[in-house]
Amino acid sequence: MPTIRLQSSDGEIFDTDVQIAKCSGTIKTMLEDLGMDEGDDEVVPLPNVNSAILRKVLQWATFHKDDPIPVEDDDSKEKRTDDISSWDADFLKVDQGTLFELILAANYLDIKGLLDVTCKTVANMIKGKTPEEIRKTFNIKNDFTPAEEEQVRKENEWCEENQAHARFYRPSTRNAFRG
Amino acid sequence: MLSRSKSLDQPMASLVENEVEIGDEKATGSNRKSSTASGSKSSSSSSGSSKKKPDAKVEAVQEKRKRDSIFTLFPNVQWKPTVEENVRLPVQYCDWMEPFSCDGRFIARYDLLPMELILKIFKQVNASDRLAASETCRRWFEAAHYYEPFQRRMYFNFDRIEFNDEEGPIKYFSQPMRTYPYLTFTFVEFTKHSDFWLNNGMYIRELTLRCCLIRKKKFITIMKNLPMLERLELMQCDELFKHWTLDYSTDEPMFPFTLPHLKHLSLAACDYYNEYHFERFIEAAPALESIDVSNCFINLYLSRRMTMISRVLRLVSKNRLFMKALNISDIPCFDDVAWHLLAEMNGLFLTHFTVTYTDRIPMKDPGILKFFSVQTRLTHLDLTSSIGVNDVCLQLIVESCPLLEVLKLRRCWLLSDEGVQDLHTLKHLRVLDVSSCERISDYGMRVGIIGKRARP
Repeated sequence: MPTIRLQSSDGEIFDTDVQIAKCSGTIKTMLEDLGMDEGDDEVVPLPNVNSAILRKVLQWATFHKDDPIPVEDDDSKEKRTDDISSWDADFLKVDQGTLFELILAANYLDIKGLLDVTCKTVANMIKGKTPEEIRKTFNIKNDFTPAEEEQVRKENEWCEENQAHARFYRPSTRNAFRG
Repeated sequence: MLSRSKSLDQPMASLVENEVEIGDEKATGSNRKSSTASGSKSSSSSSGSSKKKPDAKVEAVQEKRKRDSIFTLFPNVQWKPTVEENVRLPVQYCDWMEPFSCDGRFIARYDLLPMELILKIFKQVNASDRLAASETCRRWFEAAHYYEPFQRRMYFNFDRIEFNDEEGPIKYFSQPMRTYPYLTFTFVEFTKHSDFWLNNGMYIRELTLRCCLIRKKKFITIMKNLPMLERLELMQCDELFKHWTLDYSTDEPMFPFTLPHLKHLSLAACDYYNEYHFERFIEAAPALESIDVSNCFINLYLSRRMTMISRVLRLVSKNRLFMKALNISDIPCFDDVAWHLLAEMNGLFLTHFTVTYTDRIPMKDPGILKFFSVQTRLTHLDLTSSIGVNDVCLQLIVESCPLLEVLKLRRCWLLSDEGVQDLHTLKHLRVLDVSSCERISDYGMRVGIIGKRARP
């Protein structure tokens, strides 16, 4: 089985099955563009991922190596977030810092499946919380002045979700359709 | 070997000392401590080596490793600050330096995630959670309110408020933090002056005034400030047109504003406007592609009603190349002649058509059948409570409008199994409402939805 050597930011080297490493769009493109052959003893440096996170990412990729390639989905509708598999849910029972680094790593390595599931986990953590609770959960620094915060809160009070079905006809954002 | 390593150590240590002196006060304090600590360690280890000769080699290797390690090379970097020491370097760190805090530790700062990732997360929560998240920090606020698809899903609804710059919600909205493209006012009195429209008008794209008390002067002031308006709904604003009489003595236009981007105009349930208002209003909106005149003209005399209907038809005819939606629900006197006129407009291809609560749709008349046989691009058709719709009519609609996505036939009592049998040929149909159509049987419905393959 062909393997590839991945080097994390702190120098640890992971010998990985090529098939698993190719879950990552970044590594896949790198291999294709550089034309790295099998048996090359070259090391692929991943300077944005440390060893602890890379280990977790590879663990995820190993479990999901046979998954179908996820399709690009449209942004218009709200997505389900309750369809996280139990393995993923267990896998993502980590502290906020690790989850944060996993998101960044999945983004850098371009692993759509992992990025989806980590973002869903964050979305689930946001749900039903007050702003103060969200700030605490995600270690967010409040950079509003008190006056601005009050202003935002007051404005939000009058904001409602659009009921799309209540609007029969909505002009498209594009130019008028002709002909 | 030992001596050589020591001699090598010597200049290194002095170099470090120099660096430390250059560094700032507090840092030197802590670093001196660490450097002296390491010095004492090395001395103790050397004494240990003198006691135990066989370990000298190992000791030397350790010494070398220590010398070469990155920690000894940069001793004035606080690698592992301990809680007791409470290191506080006076470093002014700004946003781009984060998420690494001043002491070099990695901190998960979710507010500093790349914007596309914040948006990805926000796409998966509903509007109220997104609103709560937007109150946490500026970046999340921007993500929740400036991203177009999110903005389109939110609107501001002011219900039963006083429109006043000095108090109430409008006080907060005259100097806002964001833009408001979608606004709705319900039961609001527009009697006082407000700078709101001057400040926000250029961003407003959709405005709905439902049952509002607004008069000519205020209305004109508002409209003058809305150059980007795309959708305007004036529902049951009776006062607006009631006392708005035509003034022949001046040359000033009746509607001294233009709405170049206005695409949808709804005058639903406004009773008192007449053909003069209508004609001049639509002159101000040349790009109109959708008009809603449902529930209108009820209080007009018969002759006036006929005039109004002819004016609406004239508008549709004028804009027929880009007219897309028409709502003529519940208009009395929309007769066969009118249907014929509508059917005979070359180049008119509506996508949305609504004619509800019309008990007098003359289904046996050819006009309506002709209309539906021509309108082949309809995607949304609402015939709720048009109780004249029969099987022949529905079959014709299904046959001639293959693009239908939404078909509402609630309370069309005349429909039976025969009418719905071909529904399965509509490949794009997403919404079908046949509630209260009691003559349609379960079997008929099954045939209609999955085709002839259904067995009783």
